[in-house]
Amino acid sequence: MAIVLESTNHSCCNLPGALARLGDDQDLLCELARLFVDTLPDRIRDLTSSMEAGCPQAVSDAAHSLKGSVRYFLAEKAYDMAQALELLALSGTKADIESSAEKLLREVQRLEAELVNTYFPK
Amino acid sequence: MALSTKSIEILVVDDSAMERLLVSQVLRQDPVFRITAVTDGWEAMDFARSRRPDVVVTDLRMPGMNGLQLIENLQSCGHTMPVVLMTSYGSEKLVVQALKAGAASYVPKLNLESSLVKTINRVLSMTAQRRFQQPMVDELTISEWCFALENDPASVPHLISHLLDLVVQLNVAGGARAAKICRTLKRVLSDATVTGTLEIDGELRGLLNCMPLEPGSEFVAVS
Repeated sequence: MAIVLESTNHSCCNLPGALARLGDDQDLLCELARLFVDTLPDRIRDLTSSMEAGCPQAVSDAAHSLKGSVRYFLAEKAYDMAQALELLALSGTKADIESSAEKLLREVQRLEAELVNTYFPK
Repeated sequence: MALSTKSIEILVVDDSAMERLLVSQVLRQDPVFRITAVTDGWEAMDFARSRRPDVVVTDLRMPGMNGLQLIENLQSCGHTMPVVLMTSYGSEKLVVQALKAGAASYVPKLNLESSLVKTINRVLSMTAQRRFQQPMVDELTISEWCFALENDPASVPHLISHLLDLVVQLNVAGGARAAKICRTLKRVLSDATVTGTLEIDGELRGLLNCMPLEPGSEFVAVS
């Protein structure tokens, strides 16, 4: 099935750009989207449990992992938020870290919704 | 460009399934590459032991055993295959440590699609070149390096860089020891440009004495 990718003002990622970076390999981008959607609950669980445990390195590692997973879709906002949390986790206040994590989680869930809507609509 | 038509076995190590998928796909651009992907350093060690891959491509930041520790473990088990690191923003310090420990090269993850295959081929080419040179290096009996330098502190880093290449190329010392020798030499030479006297201190003498020289060999430093 051919999927027409559009990047609108409301998009939280740039799927046409991501596709171009992958040499127009639609199957690969779709497979990456599937892996992202499948593994996101684990990544979110890693982040929230690290926050609850109050372990800065684990929070930073979880943010790093999320950063890596959103980059394939050129999700710049999520990428920047993950990178900010990755650094903030090691030096910021608890309140700042929690606020940063909340924003990141909202953004990755937006990305998840957009990928599901594009590749796996019900 | 691959070195020959013989297939080249590449081991990819990354804890992220997405990264393993992407890297494997990128590497398939070169039909000569045969790719195996594993999820952590322990699996990588097992694979290296049983299959001896030509190149290891590893993530730097992984839970359990990170890329730096993987390099150290491979070396301590006598594996000499080149290791290419995949790096991301925020890992700069670890990258420097890994390069000092003997990593062959690195590719930022943001450039994997455009740079990974080229980097692997460049590393393979350098490895093959060293392999061809090695029989000659093994027969080398005397190597004398004489540098007549102006008393210019700016020349020290260039000399050190050149010496590091020579030390590694002649297999006098590798990885961390070569880097340590050069760091100490840099300090000694920088002091010499200020004081006018070259003093081989205890630390440098100790490092040089630990190098695997033939009986009767000696290091001579002339100031």
